[in-house]
Amino acid sequence: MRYYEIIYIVNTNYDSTTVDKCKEEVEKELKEFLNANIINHYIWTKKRLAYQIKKQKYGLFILLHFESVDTKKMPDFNKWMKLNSHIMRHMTVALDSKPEIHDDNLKTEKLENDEKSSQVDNNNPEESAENENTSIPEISSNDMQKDEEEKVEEDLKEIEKEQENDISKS
Amino acid sequence: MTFQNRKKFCYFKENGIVDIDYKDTKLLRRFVNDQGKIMPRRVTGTSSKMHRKLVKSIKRARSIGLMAYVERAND
Repeated sequence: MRYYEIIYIVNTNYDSTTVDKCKEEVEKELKEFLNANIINHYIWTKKRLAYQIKKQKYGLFILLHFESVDTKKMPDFNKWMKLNSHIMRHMTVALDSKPEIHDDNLKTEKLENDEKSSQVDNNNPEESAENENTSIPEISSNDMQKDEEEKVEEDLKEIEKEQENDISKS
Repeated sequence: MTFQNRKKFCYFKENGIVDIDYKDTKLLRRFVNDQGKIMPRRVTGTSSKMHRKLVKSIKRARSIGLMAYVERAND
């Protein structure tokens, strides 16, 4: 049993219905060829391509995680993907560990919860005080993350300096 | 000209990165020069183990169109 990741690029001019159709087709073929158990299938981002693919400058990247036992028919599936006119390019990668389950609704749920908690605060002043206490460490953790990011930037600068030195030495 | 003997370090070991994701182009771009060439290990200081992983993920990113095979340097 192994986990795999497929990334494929679709034309950005497609509307959501055609993209959904495309996704359905891919899922259907995956199940047919590889008897796959699909974990995630979602639109990753819309990006500017580093070079033109099929005369397109932009692409819609779609990610697909699945697990499968028999992958003897993987070449056939890759062939099908290649012949599919909707898909500009695709790539299959074997993963070392189980992928995290992607959830589009996670962010919105969080926001809703925050709103609810704020309403509770208005009703009960005592609880709001408690919430404030709990919220303080969260902020500090955010600051920690920022510090780490700054550290990373500093490291980068150092690397760049070293590279410059190396070039000047040579 | 002054010589600085600053010790090189592996970026990934320092930051505790074990797996390099080919989709993380922001990280991969640090190890590529302005032409899009992969920087040698003697320049970046990455450990040989991580450099092998890095090269693999850069090449994957190139093949899917996230990174350029050849980038023209700004003259």
